[in-house]
Amino acid sequence: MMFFKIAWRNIWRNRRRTFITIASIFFAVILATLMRSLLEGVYNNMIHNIAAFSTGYIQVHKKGYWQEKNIENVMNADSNVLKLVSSTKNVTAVVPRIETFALASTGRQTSGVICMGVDVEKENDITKLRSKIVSGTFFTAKDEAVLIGERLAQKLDLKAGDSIVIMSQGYHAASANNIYRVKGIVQLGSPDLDKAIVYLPLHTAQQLLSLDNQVTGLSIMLNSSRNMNEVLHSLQQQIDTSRYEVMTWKQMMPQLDQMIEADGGSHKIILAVLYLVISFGVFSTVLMMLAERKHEFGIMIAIGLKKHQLTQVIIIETLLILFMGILFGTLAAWPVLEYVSAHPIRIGGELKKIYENYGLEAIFPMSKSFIVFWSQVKAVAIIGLAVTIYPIVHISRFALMKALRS
Amino acid sequence: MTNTVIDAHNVSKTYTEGPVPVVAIQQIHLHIDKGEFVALVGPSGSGKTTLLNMIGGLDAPTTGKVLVNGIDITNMKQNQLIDFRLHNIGFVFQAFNLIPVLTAKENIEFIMLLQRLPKEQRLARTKKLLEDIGLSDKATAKPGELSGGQQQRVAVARALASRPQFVLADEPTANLDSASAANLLDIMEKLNRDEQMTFVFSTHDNRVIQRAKRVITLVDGKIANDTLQTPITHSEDS
Amino acid sequence: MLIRIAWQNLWRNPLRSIVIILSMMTGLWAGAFIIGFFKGMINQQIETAISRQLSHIQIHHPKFGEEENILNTIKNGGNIALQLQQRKVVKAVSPRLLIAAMAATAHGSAGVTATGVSPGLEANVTSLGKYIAEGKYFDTTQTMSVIIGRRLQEKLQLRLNQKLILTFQNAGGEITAAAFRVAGVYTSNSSAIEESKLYVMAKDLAPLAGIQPGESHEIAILLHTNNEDEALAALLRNQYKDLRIETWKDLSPEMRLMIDSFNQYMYIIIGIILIALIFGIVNTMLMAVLERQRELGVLMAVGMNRSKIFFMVMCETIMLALAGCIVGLPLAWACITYFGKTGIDLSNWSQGLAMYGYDTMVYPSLDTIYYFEIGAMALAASVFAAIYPARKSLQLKPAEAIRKI
Repeated sequence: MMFFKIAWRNIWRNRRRTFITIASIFFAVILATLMRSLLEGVYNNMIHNIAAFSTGYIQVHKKGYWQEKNIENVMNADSNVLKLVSSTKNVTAVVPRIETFALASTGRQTSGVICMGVDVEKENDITKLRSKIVSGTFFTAKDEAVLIGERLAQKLDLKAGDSIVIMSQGYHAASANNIYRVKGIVQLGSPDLDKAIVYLPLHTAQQLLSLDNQVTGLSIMLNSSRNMNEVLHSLQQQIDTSRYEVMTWKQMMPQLDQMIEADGGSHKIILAVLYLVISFGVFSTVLMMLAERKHEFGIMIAIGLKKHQLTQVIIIETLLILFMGILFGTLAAWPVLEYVSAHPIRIGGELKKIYENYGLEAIFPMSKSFIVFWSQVKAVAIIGLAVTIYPIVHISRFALMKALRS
Repeated sequence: MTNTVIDAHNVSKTYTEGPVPVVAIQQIHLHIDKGEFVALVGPSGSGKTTLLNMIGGLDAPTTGKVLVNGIDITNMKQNQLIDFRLHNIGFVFQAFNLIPVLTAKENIEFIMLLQRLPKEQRLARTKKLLEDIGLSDKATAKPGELSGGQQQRVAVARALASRPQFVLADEPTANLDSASAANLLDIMEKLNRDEQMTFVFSTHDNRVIQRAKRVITLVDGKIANDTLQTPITHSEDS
Repeated sequence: MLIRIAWQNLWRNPLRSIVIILSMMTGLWAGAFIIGFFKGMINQQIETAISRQLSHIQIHHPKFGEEENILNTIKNGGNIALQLQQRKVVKAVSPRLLIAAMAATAHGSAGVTATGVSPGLEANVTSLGKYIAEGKYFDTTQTMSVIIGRRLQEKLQLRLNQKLILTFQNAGGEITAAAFRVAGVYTSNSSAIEESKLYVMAKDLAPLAGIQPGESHEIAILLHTNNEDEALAALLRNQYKDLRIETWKDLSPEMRLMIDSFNQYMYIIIGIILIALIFGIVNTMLMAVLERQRELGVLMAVGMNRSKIFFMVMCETIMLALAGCIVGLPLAWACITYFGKTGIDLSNWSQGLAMYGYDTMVYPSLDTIYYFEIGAMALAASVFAAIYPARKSLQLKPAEAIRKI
């Protein structure tokens, strides 16, 4: 406790220097926190959208389905698998889906579409599909009707109430053509989906594709993406993996995962350089703290302070400065995150187009997740380790007589 | 009954750091007994500080050995030595003795903290020492808020706090005016008398030399003279 | 004289000066290298985009892209292509048909864009012939052959010479299906393209789609150099007022933005690094001034005026920055030049990058002017950082400073 007291008072002997050093860490922490938060926010949003609207965080499907995306690889929706998955820990929803490719035609124009047969109520629970309707109305499980994406509607010049022909390939190569009423037009936020999505009630889709109670996959939503691997392992142990396949979105879309990793990596490099430069500044402060107190250290050792105790004092001093930097940085970043995560920044103009070209929602949410703050703590801890090496070496080589004579 | 506290045996010190080896101390034999009040005098460069540093275990002799209370300290390892100093030797340096961020009281208490003494003992001893040096009212002042003389008095108190075998003071009055110097000497004398504390101090101030009971004169690293004298005191309580 | 004193002052505490110079060096080196890396990536992307996908200029029907209609063709596309071919700046021209279709096999179906091309012309524009991984490029003596992307091949489990059924709506509004034989499989840097784009010969596709010979949906123009595109586009816009003429920058707003925002990006990265550096410089110089209080007091007492002291402290700071620049920037230049030759392999992330059209090899590059710009920014930052310590040095009072021994 005495050492702590000495350290605390020591760092305030040169207020100006301590303030500037804390300010430098503050600057790095706040910048890094906001940057990380934005990245996490944007990607989590993207992953969540993709998970909710298409693959799920984890998907269970017939073995081989993902490789071939073939309507022949269907599984029974009422199987034990569904019950088993629903009762697994951390799983918030299990959504049966039929996903297949089709051509949609109005007679004059045709477009390739993703035909998605969904359990109307369950789907609405996880995607809030009902609230995405921009014109027309939501459908019910018994409707022989479809919901289509907004951009697809534009492309095919369709309004709610018009009719559309869906042509696809059914189970066992049965023909699959039918005409449906467009009951509503949805705007999902992802341009890729808006351009191509056609929703059918599950039963209607099964009729179209000559299926009995089968689906192409069960999309699984989780309470947090952090639990993904845990759930994956638990499912893989319980499900007959010779017949079914359990995959995470990372396995289903490795490119997306890698793209996120690569983009995150390039930002992390910039932050690493920032922290590196800051740590030089902290180091020079430590250097000055040591140099100007040579005589004092000499006295302390002469009267009976052991070197490792002296080193402790210096380390506490350094850590106090770092700790205050990260504390104030985090405290300053927090309200910004709090605000932005509640009111995500919407972007417009050319940037919006670019985002949409990449299939992203033109929205900048920020993440308040623990990892955002924790990674700053880790970065600063590494700085702490690096800059305290010098005092440890310096004190261990400390020449008592020289110091006393100075 | 005499009780040898310091026994320097055939001690020499040669500095080889410079371009030419410098012999600072040559084959000195020295005994100091408990309760002595010794002044180490001599022109500058005569080896006073070097001798004090070796007696205090701050510096090792090139040849010979130093025994403190019969224990050879010349071959001790660094941490052992630091521990030995903590429990056996009190130091007062020329100036800037105190830890600048601690108050007078904390400076005195600090050394007992290092000795891991229980809190009540620490507080009692600190209180007593502050009274002895007449600075009870300055207990919470930082060194920067004390005069040079007051700082040196606190340094003496701190040196005694650990109940050492003896106290070494290297030119303790060098930066003090004569009134403060006399005052510091009064306190040292009093502690020497009351606590039977052994003091060894170097000085070249004549008024300070007069107050020593034993004067050892160093010339060119050798003891030129070692005499006992009756100290001339000016203090009011003698 | 002042400059010499300043220089010597720096070396009174060499470790401290070296730490600051090192931090400056590392910051500038890393900053410049990151920028060079991004520049290399952008260049790579532009090169790939132009040579493999967008070409320099594309001509379309004005309503192309807004509505999916097979009838939105360039009526005399063949002739326009021939005329364009005569121009000196033009390297190659390829007229194309683009039709949305469903590709089906026994193993499944997928949405694709069927691209009808003249094999010879297309090969000159996108070098498609060079990227055939399996099978052969079009043989004009044969009919009904198709070249598909690797991803589509995997998805539909197609082997060479197997049949693929293309179903689409023809110009008359009827659903038409035709079988094509897989002649070759191409690879692309973009897996999205591999999955969704397949090539057939225009002479096979046009009759099926009910499109007259000579009509095209798209004309792609490749030029000899990158910097003639805007001039030719302007010329063509004048000549063909009823067609939409777009350069690659128009076609790919993200690439335009990437180029336009490169400078901004550079300023932001260097700015962040410099701000971080400023903290260290201010602190060090402040300490250098405060610990020399007495000496500065003496200098003032012997008649060195305030502006000279101010100038001296400024000089010291700028020298530190200059030293950092002199070491850091050439180091960055050397690294960028070296890796600019050997390239940096990003194949660990290649799948993800390829999805967005990046090549996996990046060749960093940075124009010389940028080094000077970065250096100038660093010096400006150091001047800024020097103000506070230099002002502090002026606030010292000679008498007081001397008394503090």
